[in-house]
Amino acid sequence: MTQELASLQVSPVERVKYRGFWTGAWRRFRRNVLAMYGLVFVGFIIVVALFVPVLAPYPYDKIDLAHGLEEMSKEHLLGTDQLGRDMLSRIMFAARPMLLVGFVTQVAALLIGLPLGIIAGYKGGVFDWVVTRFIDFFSALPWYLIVLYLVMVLKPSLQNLILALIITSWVNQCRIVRGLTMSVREQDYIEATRALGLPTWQILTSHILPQVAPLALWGFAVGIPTAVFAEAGLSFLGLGVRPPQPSWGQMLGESGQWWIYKPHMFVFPGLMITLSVLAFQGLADGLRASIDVNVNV
Amino acid sequence: MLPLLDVRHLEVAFFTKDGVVKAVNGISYTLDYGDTLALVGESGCGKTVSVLAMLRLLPVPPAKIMGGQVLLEGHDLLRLKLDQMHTVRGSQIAIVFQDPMTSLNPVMPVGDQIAEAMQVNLRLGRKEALEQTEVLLQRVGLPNAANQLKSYPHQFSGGMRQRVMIAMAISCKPKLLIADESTTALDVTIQAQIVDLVKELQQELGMTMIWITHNLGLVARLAKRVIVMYAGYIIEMGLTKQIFANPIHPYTIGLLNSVPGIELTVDQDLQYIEGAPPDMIKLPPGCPFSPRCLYRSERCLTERPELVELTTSVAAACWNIDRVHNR
Repeated sequence: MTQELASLQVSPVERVKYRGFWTGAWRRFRRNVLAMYGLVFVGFIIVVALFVPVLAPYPYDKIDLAHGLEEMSKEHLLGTDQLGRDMLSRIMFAARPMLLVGFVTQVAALLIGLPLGIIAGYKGGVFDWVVTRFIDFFSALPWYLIVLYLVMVLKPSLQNLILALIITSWVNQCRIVRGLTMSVREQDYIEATRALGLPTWQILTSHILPQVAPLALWGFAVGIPTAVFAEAGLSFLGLGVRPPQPSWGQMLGESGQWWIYKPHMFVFPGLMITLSVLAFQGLADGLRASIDVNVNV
Repeated sequence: MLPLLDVRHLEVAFFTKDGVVKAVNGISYTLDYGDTLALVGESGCGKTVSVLAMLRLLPVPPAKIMGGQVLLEGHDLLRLKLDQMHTVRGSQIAIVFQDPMTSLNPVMPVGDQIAEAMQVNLRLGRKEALEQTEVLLQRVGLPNAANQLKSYPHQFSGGMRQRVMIAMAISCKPKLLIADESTTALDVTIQAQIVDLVKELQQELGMTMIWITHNLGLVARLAKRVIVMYAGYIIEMGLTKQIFANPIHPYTIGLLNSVPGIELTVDQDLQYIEGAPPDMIKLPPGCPFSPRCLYRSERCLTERPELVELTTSVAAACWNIDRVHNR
């Protein structure tokens, strides 16, 4: 009994120093296994994509018909495809369009959606009405179909794929930012700053923006896996990255004829798609959990 | 000399789906430089709305300023373009709001919040503004001001936050300071401190003041003149001393009677005015106070009394002043 009580003794409370919002967010993020996996894997992919000309054993387009459809060997660690191109090199090179699509679309979506969302949410009125109708329009239609049609109409290419994804993905960013702005706008302290004579742009940038920034950052992060997955899917259908440039989705598509005899042709690109989408998703979820003050324990 | 503030027939309405809420119905008053005015009345009588309308801080729609003029040193604020109002707000007229718990941005250090206003209105550099902020925080009696610049509002008590709000309001040296029930959310001892602080600052900076309050004790102590509002109308206005000594309007009498005195014993009931304020969508056709008035006559129900000057220092809006005072 006494022992039990002794073990129950509470250690003296240490004075916890407040080190700022982002330090706390990082502390919470670090404890999240999936998020940390995501961070490491994404970091790894970025490094590979940056240094791929040095790292890759072969150029991505070196054709060697004599050694087509070879299994894994010392010369070709992940085997070769139907044209004798080195699978490992092609998989490594394919990290580039994947990252390009993921980041460029989401940066653009942020640059369009964030200001539109803040202004629409704060100002209201006709501007808000117009923006909201856009949001409604794009939310009502399946975004994948819109992208598919747009790419087909614009001619399949990586640029057009990125353009199509930007057109559909700013809407999400805009919607979440607008919603939060509308609730922040009604706070007393916003009225207080107006009474103090701050012009609107100053209220938006110094009071509203810091409040919506974490959520916009989360919107940015969740947008990436979606875009990456869309790129893989469209390249699989032959509407994305154009040959000879490699992409995981496209490689998966090409493996169709041989996959039953040569599983290495679809296993590795498929694995890469799965792992990277999972990594981005884990990163985004971890980010949300670590910056959302409502789940902060 | 031109008065600092001249409000003429200010009318404000809110257009809601239930009907038009007539919140302020043609109020007029003037305020001289250095004067202290108190606006009193029940909740919802239009005190705050009239002031917010003056600063064009009401959301339009649903609010709409139906008419009138608000002349600040001869310039009509209601005719100013909305995007020019920020030249008036803060640097000419500033408000200290009721609730210090929600009127500060929770995610911004208080130093930055105060400095921001000065950076914008006085065009100070950031460093200079922060130095000024430190002086201000010292002046409003925040202990250890230099180290508080980086503190967040949640680290402060209510009284300290109200001091911060005051520092913020006076930071740009406004000519007119409006205290919108600034002491309501504070406990009584802190209230007295805050009131004294504002009074001192008013003298020091030569500000003109409007106190919006329910607290009649405060009015007696602070304001030279008082305006009693009811249902969006001014029903009595004049020198505070006179009105407290000799209230004219039945509503003012009721209001003063309902202040519990120190001699009240436990078994005595509190005084109050029967009934409730009228529905602001369907105001009675006559005197707005008539449904609750003990002295009402036929005329009160059909015809609305205008504010009439009884002496040089007191005006009231009532048909039956003689009857009320020959009880």
